[in-house]
Amino acid sequence: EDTSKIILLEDPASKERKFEEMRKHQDPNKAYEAVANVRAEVDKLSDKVVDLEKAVQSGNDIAEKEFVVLTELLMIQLLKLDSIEAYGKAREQRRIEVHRVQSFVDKLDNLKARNSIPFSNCGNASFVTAKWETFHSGFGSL
Amino acid sequence: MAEKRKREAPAPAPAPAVGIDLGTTYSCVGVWQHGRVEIIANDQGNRTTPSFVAFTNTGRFIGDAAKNQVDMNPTNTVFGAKRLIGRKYIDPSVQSDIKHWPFKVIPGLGNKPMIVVTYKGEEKLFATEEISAMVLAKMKETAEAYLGSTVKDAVVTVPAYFNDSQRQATKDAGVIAGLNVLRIINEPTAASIAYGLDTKSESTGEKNVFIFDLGGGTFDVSILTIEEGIFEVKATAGDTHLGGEDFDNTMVNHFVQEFRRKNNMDISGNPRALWRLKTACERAKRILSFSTKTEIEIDSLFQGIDFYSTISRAKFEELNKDFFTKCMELVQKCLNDAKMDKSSINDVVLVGGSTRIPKVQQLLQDFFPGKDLCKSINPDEAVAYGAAVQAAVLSGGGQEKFQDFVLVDITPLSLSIELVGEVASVVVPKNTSIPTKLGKVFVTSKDNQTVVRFTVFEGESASTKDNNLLGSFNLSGIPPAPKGVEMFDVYFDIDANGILNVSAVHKTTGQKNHIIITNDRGRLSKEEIEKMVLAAEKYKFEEEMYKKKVEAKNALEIFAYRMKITIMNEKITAKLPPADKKKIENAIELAIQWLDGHQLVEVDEFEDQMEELKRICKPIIPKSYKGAGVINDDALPLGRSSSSRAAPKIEIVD
Repeated sequence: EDTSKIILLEDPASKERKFEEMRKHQDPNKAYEAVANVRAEVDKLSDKVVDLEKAVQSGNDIAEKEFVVLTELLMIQLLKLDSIEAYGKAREQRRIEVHRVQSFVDKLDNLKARNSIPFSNCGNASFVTAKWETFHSGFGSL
Repeated sequence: MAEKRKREAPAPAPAPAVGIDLGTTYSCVGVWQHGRVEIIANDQGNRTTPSFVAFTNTGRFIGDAAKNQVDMNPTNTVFGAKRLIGRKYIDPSVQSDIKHWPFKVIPGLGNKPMIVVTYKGEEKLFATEEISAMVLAKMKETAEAYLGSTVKDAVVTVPAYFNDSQRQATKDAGVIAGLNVLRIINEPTAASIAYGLDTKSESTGEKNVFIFDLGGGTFDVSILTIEEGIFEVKATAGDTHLGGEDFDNTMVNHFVQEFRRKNNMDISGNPRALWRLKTACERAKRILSFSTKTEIEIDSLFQGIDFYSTISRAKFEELNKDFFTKCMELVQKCLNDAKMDKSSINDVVLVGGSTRIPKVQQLLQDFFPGKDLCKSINPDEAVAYGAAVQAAVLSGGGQEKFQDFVLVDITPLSLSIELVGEVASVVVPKNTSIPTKLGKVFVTSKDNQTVVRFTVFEGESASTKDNNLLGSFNLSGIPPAPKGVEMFDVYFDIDANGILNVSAVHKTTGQKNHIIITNDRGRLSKEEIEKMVLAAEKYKFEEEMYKKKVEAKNALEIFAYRMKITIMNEKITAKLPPADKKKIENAIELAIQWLDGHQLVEVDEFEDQMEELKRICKPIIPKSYKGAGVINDDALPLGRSSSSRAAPKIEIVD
């Protein structure tokens, strides 16, 4: 019959055991590799941070968007790092990379503040976008 | 070049009709093929596409590309258009929704909500139908890429509680997207079709189905009665702002408190920390659907402090206890509204990603003891699945399989004519299967009345005050007579798409008038739709041009870098005179610098640069080099440019 189906049911407990097994025996090299991939991406972004820094130092006007976009791209890498499951040494690698990304983000915040001073005095505060405000209000109402 | 051919519009071959689930947060498209439903993955490989449209200085993005850049461009990224479609700006639900949105919504003509964005540096106004049309067009394209032919016909789903104006507007969106909407059907109806509940042979007579749809942001429950393939909506209930995101937020809140306890610091004022925490919570929630506990690990979450914690499924359930209770209360309310006992429900259908949560399934199973829960179809895809089946039936694509398959939709609300004293006189009762034509006789209410006004309402209240005004028309030139003498035949004619034509005929003179429910309620006029269709085509063209620019730029970039590597290879440059080598090196550097300064100029300019570079580099171009389109070479160290996240996936086909 068209409507007849064979459905294989899996015991949820066994499914979970399998999942746990998989996690325990996960190749630690995978985590290293994942961190290394992010590192390569961050390396590229770091060049752009340096470029921006130079531009700010030489007194060029830089569109605020440049800072925002680069910060976002770094944040994406940070979220990628957060999604890597790692133990022992691989975790240590991940931590180092997280700190590195954060240092670039901080640098960008500072550069952005410096860049915007000649035009306005809003400084850092302007970074918080409406998106976050909405998230906030939803958050507070819980 | 193969590349060129692929970019051309697909040849007009008959493609099967598709089914589209146009969702609040995500949309999904399916097609009936080779005797089964295929849910189609988009260009990013995802089987659901965010219902997001983003406008930037460089172009327009739809779906994943739009959602991915939302934090960078919040005011010009539009989502949740489904919450606006077919509603008026002053609608309280519109007012409360727009308060929480980062993009701007203003009242337009006829009080229609209009979305304001900056597109290519210019302020633009879009009707909700246009935004939904962009999402539909994306789904259409996704299907076309998979089928290899132009898709015309589609079945589009809407919530069961959508009124006529919301359905109409959805249909208009389809037209703007270049689709022929075969039919608008209810989401719970589609989900029931997906499970074949209307055709199961073992059941005879009436069958009651409970559909539980818990998605990312909305919760809908409905009770349908199916008899001989006819669907009737008995009742709907739900919460338009309850879903998976709420569960994430309770978890975030929980961990913010834990962080405060452990470190005596408050991270709730730090958007970046919250963003990371929220992403981790979303992941944890998914894991807890098949694992009883999971870890949260975020290095240096706040002021260099690592946050490592665990959460059990039990804790997750406790945190969201109130939400789950609310869901079950609404289940009961829906049964009460339908005046049904839960024992009379034959099947329970699970729809929406959040129905994967074990607690939700357990609560439902406990509530409906002994009933099998229909959950074998991916709950994110069940609605599109059913819509695809329906599309096949309507277009005859399913052939013999659907011989006995009758599908009928119903009017969600009663339709009435207003009598004196704001009394609603029902002509078409709620849940009448459509298409239908029903009539009623009306008489004059005053002595010597020469003009009669027919006002049409939808809704269940006996007083028109509480119902929704659809429109009105007059019939004049009635000969003076005592009240109650002159008689009128009034017909309500509803076609398969739910379009309503109300006509009135004066019995003695044959004078008539009619109304097709359209503009009075903010529906788009034919002209407006035509204009929007043209605009949509224009945007699509611009987008293609943008894509071509990006492709031309990438081709040049790849070629330049490739040559840069080649020129460094001494085996190749050994025979080259040093002056020529220098010349080539200079040309490559110039091209790379030029690229830096010319992000998106015309395609020709990129191509000219390319030709020039190719000419100079000719001595070192390997014979195997097939052209600029070649990218599948492992030796290329090229990453994506910084703008790649905002840009749609760039495909360069070999």
